Amino acid sequence: MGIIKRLLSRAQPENKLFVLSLDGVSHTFARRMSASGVMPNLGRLFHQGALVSLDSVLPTVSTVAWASYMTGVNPGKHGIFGLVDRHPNPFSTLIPTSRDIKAPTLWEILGRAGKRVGVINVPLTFPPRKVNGFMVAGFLSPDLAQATYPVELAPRLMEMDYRIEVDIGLATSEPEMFLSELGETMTRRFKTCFQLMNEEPWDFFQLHLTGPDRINHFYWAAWEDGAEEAGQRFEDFYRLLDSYLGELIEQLPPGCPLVLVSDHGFTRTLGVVYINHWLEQNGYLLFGRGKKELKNQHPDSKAYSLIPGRIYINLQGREQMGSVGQGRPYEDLREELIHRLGGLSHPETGQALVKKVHRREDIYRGPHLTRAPDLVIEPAPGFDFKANVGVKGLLASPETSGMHTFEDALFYLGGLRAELPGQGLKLEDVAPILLSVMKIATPPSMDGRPLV
Amino acid sequence: MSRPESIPPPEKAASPAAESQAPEPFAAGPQAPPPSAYTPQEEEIVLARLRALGYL
Repeated sequence: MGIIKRLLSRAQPENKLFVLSLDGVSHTFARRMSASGVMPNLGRLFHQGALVSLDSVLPTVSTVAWASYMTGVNPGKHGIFGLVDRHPNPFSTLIPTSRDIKAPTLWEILGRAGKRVGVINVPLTFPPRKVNGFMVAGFLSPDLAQATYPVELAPRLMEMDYRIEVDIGLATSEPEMFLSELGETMTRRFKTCFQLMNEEPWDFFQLHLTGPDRINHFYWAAWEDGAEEAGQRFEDFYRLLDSYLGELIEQLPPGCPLVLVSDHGFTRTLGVVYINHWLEQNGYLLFGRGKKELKNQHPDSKAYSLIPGRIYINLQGREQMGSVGQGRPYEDLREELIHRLGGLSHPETGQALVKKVHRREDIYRGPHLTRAPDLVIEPAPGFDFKANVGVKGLLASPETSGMHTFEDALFYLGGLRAELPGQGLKLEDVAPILLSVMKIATPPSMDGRPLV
Repeated sequence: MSRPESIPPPEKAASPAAESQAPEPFAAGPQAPPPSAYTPQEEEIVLARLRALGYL
């Protein structure tokens, strides 16, 4: 009998499921927080289910990762490749939204199966798409009035003083206020969740917390270094999270499995790598007269980058400045860039800056492959690839103290005693697993495995 | 809370042909970018968040 079937044999008749998604909480970090006693409720949970690490997506940014989670497919099928994307001709940049997701989401599939869903704060859910239930869109929502489906939910959230996102700018200008707001924002998110859990009918509920990712970005190094005050404040945030986790466990309907999932791992940032600077210095990126910006490239410009480490070839017939011929010239340039970028190292320490440079067809498959970057740089741990132009050098000091990693995302399925695969589980496998728990067949278009 | 009138139909599974290396849209020429979900003012709010996180 498959492991999910063994779980289902013990599942309660109502067949509900609650997912708490923890942006930026790695598998290793969660184990450490539970073992050290900072998060005792998390520690107790880990004795009551299966806990494994997941591989994330490339590039490892939240919107790409959560798009893969919510659709169960790779970016070549859901069409999201970054927090910003580009329109090739005429060149312009844009912010992908829920409208750009080209595959059905987990909650849409559940809704079609007659399940009522409640979803709060998952990234890339603005504008909120119709669901059979309710949706509160995530941090790319400009304001709360537009962030809910149905729209009638917004005034109720305003009464609860729900907040879309903490003012992240405070992290550097007023750190004390930033930490205070992080805790308060999380408190209001949980309180809103508890109220809606009790007032609305639901079969599937997901609460997403962005606070862990935010505090990790700004306090990771202080925590790792054991900085007395900052490290303590960092752990205080996770103590607060754990206390709400305990309250959530108490409020779950009897027998309702709890799932924890994150989108990536985390590590200390060692340095920023300005890849467009390297492309310019090495003659691949040329600018026209006037302002130095990507929309003002010279007609002979061959390649440019968008954050983080996505390389686009100026391909004839596709890009506005299409200087590189299709076929052999395109493939030769990709080969050259793979070789040269793959060998980048820190000029002082000799550390490799790049783990691997991937051709798009090696990591993506599906109908939206043609919109993908031509090359994707997988950074060496700790090196944060940026796309700024007009900077003074290839390397700079970190802007934030922590950054994402491809490996070590978190997945926990409550009530499952059996082992999940120890390695090789991917973020896109989560949606099929959740559908299995809800006793709903995995659509054949999904890439993920349901493990049944 | 009212039940939605309709839920978007599922996307068709990608065909094997679509899964393979599709050719580039050669000589497609300039095309208008898709309309943004944001007004210019809203986009500034969102960009400021992304910038503060170091995502731009």
